[in-house]
Amino acid sequence: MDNRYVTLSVLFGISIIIGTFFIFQLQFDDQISSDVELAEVNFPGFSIDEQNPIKVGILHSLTGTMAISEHPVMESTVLAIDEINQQGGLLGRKILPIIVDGESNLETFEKQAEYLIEEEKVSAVFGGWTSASRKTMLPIFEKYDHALFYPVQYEGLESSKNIVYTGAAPNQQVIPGIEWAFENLGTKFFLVGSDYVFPRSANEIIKEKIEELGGSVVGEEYRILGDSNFHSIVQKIKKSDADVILNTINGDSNVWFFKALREHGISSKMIPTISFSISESEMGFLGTYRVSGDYASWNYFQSLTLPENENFVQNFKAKYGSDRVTSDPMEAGYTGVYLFAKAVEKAKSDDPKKYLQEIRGITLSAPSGIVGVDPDNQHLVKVVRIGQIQPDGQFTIIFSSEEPIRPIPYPDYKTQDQWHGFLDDLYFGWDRQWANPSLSGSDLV
Amino acid sequence: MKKHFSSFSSKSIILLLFVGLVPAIVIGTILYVDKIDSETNLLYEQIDSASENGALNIERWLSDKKIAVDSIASDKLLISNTKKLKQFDVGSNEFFNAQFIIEEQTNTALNNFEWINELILYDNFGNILFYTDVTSPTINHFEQSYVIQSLQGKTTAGEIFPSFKIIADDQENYSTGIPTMFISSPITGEVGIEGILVARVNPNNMHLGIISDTNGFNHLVINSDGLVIGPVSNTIFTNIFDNEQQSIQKSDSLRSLFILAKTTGAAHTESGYFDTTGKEVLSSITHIPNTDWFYVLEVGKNEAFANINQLQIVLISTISLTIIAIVWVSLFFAKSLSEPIKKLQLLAENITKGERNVLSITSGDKEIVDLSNSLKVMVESLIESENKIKSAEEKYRKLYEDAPEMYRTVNIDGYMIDCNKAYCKKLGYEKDEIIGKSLYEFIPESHKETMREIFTVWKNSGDVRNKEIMLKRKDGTVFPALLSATSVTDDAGNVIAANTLIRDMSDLYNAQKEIEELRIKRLSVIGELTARIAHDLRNPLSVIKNSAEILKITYQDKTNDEQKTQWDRLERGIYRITHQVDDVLDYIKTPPLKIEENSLSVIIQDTIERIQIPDEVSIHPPTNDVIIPCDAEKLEVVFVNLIMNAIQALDHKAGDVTITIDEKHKGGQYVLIQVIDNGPGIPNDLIEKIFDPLFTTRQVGTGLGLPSCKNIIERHNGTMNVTSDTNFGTTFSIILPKHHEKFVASEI
Repeated sequence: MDNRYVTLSVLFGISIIIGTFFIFQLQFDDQISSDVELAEVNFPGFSIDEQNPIKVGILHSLTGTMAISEHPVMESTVLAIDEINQQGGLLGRKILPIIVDGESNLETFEKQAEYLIEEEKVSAVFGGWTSASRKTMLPIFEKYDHALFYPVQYEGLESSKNIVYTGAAPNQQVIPGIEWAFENLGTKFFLVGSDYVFPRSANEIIKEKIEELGGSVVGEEYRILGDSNFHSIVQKIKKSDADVILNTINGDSNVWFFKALREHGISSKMIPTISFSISESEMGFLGTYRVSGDYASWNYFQSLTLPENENFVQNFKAKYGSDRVTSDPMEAGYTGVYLFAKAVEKAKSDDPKKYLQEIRGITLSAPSGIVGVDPDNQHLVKVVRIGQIQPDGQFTIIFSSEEPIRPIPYPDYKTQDQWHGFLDDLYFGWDRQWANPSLSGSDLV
Repeated sequence: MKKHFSSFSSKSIILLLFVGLVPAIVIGTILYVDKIDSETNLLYEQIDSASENGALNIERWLSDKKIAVDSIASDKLLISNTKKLKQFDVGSNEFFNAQFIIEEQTNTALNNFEWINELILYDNFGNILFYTDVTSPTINHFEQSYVIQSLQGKTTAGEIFPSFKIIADDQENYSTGIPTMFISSPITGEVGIEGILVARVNPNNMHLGIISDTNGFNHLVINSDGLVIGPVSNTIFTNIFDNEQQSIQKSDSLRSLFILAKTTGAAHTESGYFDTTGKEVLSSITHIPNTDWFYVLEVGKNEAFANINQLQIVLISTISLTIIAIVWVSLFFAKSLSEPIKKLQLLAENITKGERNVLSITSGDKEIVDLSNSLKVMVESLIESENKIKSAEEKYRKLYEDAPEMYRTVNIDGYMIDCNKAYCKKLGYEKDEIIGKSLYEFIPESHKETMREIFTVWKNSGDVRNKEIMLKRKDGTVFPALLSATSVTDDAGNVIAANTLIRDMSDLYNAQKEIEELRIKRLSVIGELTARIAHDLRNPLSVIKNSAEILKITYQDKTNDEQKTQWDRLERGIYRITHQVDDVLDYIKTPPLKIEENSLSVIIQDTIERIQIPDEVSIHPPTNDVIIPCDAEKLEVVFVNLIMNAIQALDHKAGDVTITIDEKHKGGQYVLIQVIDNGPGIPNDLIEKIFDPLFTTRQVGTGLGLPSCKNIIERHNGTMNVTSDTNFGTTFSIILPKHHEKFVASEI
């Protein structure tokens, strides 16, 4: 057989196929010519005045007995400043935080506040934890007509136009706590607290509330701030037949109180404790095993599932470490910065005299929910929540007011004057101090 | 096998290839073209469809955004509290409560619609009532077209543009220039528009509205200026024409598409162009409904055509394989078709070569087997007829060879190609001395001309019968023979040779000669006797004649008419006797010829003048003339005889006697003289005897006239013969040589 004819035939066939292939390829050429006007786009310029920042002071106890509670608040405050700076600052200026140490000492707080206002010329001071420190600083802020953003729940009985109270007023923490405990835990309350103005004032309100509810106070004990001996109190509790312990102890004394409580065999199931000054921040220090199953009343828990909170927790952990936790005062400190920022923006000025005019009525979507500065008293409208401590140190929210509650600094059990009289008695009883100075009060708040 | 198209196997290959390949190629090509065409169209349809879907998705995306913003603005709480914000003083509890609710509502909205970054509330005069951001708005939205539209009741989207404000991108990085857009919606109460809600919308998730399968696709949303407004990438807010390749032909495509899409709503590339990265892409641009945006879908040409290219390869491979298979099968069939035929061909070739021991093909196609068997049968009958031919040939050969008569075969050129034993023997040659020689070598010189004539006759007619010829033996002696020849023809009927039978006539000739001699002897005795008688008669006859003349003259006046008649009768009688005696003497006496150059015309003219011509006869002498060597006196005798014969033949009736001369007879060597009368002619039974001596039909004739004439002519080396027809008369023909040779003396 002649191979030539095979090769030729195959080549013929293939060439036809390749031919068609190329013909196909050639079909794709079709050009139209035209002109299109080109648009020029200029990016908007946005410059931040780096030379002229808005200075703000952060005054917290970074050392001493209150450091474990206050240091995280300082951190969350810085976080908020960072966030705002990241978003362009205020009025085209960066916020520059001046961080100073209150050293868990009232005098230091007083000095540092004046320093910040006078020397640093800050536009606002974010700081304080104990009511003692606040009350010590208050005259300074009023003197300079300046602004203090105070981030902690407190006893109320105060309403300064120079302080923005971002923590809870008594009716936003203590009273709802009592109401919930009365309904859910029992009617017999044992009150224990640190011997300074907040526990005393808070318990005064609590007693009024218990009486109003028809419950009974089976005991009321105080220890000075920083005290570590709670055995006698615990023995009294054991004997008291109390249903609920209402704890207003502040600082590291809480460690000793719960240690003693558990050493005396009182578990949270036997007599649950509702604390008003223990948050996620103190858990590591306290030892969660000691307080697991107990309760706390706050406006904010880290476990809140609001988007703003998730964002806040995430940012905080991103900045300070994933093992870190957030708490109510931290949230209040953080929120304070935003309220300050909104007010400054609204007033177009970082002058406290001007922006404090605008801050009343300002609302904000905060990690704890929608808050607003009550135009009547510069306290925040906020939601009250009760959480149960879980073994992991987080709180499970078991109660929520759902609706934001307007702050009532002066519970209506007494008139404002009567409350002031009550405070005066304490102040003067403690030798013109806002805490029991019976022991070495010099390093106590 | 021969390598040209006329061979069977080549034809069958070509046929099968044609039958197989052409449809395969045609079908293959049609299939290929159709498939690739449809796939390409499908691809473009897909791209168009993807582009269209993309455009619709973005429209839907934008529409969803507008609906959402509208739903926020339509919230009853928002409406009522917006009214309160307008109604109550800042710092009042009512204002605070209203703002608080708005904060809640907007917060809910921001959380529900995570793509809304900021909400701003204006009253219907352009005063800011509320905003969700920490910082106040950087744009006076009331100057923007979307708010103007919203003031007329429409929820409207603005342009996507780089944010003036520092905002977060999707990676939570804050900066200006982040793509952003605003959608505004009227806050409409029962009495009319109470305010405007402006939502800052993150357009980054626009890509969620774009086709999910982004493999190989590049999609862009551009505004009417060609500015890329989405999705967010490093090309955002660049003009798609800015970085176009300089290749004008290609880059124009995108521009022209854009122009086209602006007018028609959609356009796609046919050939593709180079995108900003220099990659060749196909593109489809679709106008996004209800916007002045366009959706640009680009897909890498190579990626897009990958499947088609793969398909092309598969198709080409398949078609090629099919074609190869067809070629192979064709070749196989052609081979199986041609193989038995080749065997047959080989068989036939062998048979042609003489092979007779043929093995038939017993397996394979029935036709081939049958054909093979037929071939075998044919070969058998061939063998049989070959044998018959052989024996016939042998018989013929024997007949030819052993025949007592001479046989020879000469080819058309006159050369000996065969002869038999008798031939060899008679001529005294060996056979191989004969073969190949010219036949004229066996003819004596004197008869070669005759032989040539005979050969010519044979060549012209193919047949020669009993021609007298002389043959020359090897020793030079000659003998007479009779020659008859027939033609041998080839298959086509062409004469190729002459089979010649030659009969030795020596014996017959000798016998004839003896008879002739005897006759001549007898004649000579008679002749001598006659001559003596004649001679003896002449003297008394002269005496009688003279005496009669004297008596006549003497008694001339005394005689009456009756006596005169008697005298005349006497004279005529004396004349006749004298004439007859002269004839006899003429015939017998043969004095030598006196050859001279003479004019035939003169001779004939003289002859005519000597003869008394009756009035009723016309003599036509020849008009031409020729001079030949001859004995004029003798020829006069011949012509006198012939003319007189003619006149006598006319028998006193009117007639013509014509004498013609053809001086160029037989190529000019001879002269033909004819004496023609238109008398009654000579009967056939007499014409043969006309030249015999003493034959006469007339009372007064001696019967020696014509024999004398013939004798004279032959002594001139000429011939004389007669033809006659009872209707047209008689013609005597005399042929004389023009040139004098050796004249043979008459033997008589």
